Amino acid sequence: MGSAPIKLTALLKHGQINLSLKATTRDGVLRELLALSALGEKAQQILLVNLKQREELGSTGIGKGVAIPHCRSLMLNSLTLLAGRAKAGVEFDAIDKKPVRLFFLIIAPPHDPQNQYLILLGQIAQLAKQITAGDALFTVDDPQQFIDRIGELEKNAK
Amino acid sequence: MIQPQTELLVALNHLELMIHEATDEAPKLKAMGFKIDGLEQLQKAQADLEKQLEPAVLKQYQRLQQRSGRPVVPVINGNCCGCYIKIPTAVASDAAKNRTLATCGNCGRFLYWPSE
Repeated sequence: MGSAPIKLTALLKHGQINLSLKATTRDGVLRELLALSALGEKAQQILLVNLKQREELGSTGIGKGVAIPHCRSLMLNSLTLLAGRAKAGVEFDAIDKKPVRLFFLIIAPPHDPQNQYLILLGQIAQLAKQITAGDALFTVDDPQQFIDRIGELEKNAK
Repeated sequence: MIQPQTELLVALNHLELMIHEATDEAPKLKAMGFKIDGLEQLQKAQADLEKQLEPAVLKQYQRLQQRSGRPVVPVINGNCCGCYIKIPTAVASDAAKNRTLATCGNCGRFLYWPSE
């Protein structure tokens, strides 16, 4: 069956990373991350509603300072990954109750025959397990260094 | 301004996608470490939205859902993302985008312009 891993470093582009999120609330972070997408304002508003709805079903803060907000949406036709970092941390009702500093936001189109959405979610959840408090992902300021570190973690996960 | 029925259709389709996630995909998501509960509130919101749709629109939506699983599709780069046919200019004119309840002349799906 087609469950080939997705190369995160290929999916994540510089313009889809914000390493100095200013927001101090969950909704503010989601809004700031969505602004990294190429979507129009109305589509971003609709997505914000969807993402908030998803968070109401259970926080996507999976612990260790990482959250992976996600949803399927009609607003796009390809898998999209947006990443952000709030250095001070944001209250996200995470599973370990700790503030979240790293965000990986996934949006997938409804039609996803190869199930890339779940594959990507699983990969990032696995990758998050390797992240320690002193990880470079929490400190680097250059998006390329951020992507490179993701690449290292990806290799280690294999 | 978005046509109210279009907005409702988009919201309904999104809710159904989330219900799918909270039911069929919940075991996988929980195994990954995600919390996902609250199906009842989604189903209630779904019923509320269905009540707000015009009966003929809801019927068409349900027919499309049953037939293709994708009753509402975005128009990206001028193409219907359901059947990939080019949407005629008259339908896709600036004035018409999301301001009328538009359907694809080829596949019949409801159309939505996400870039607007």
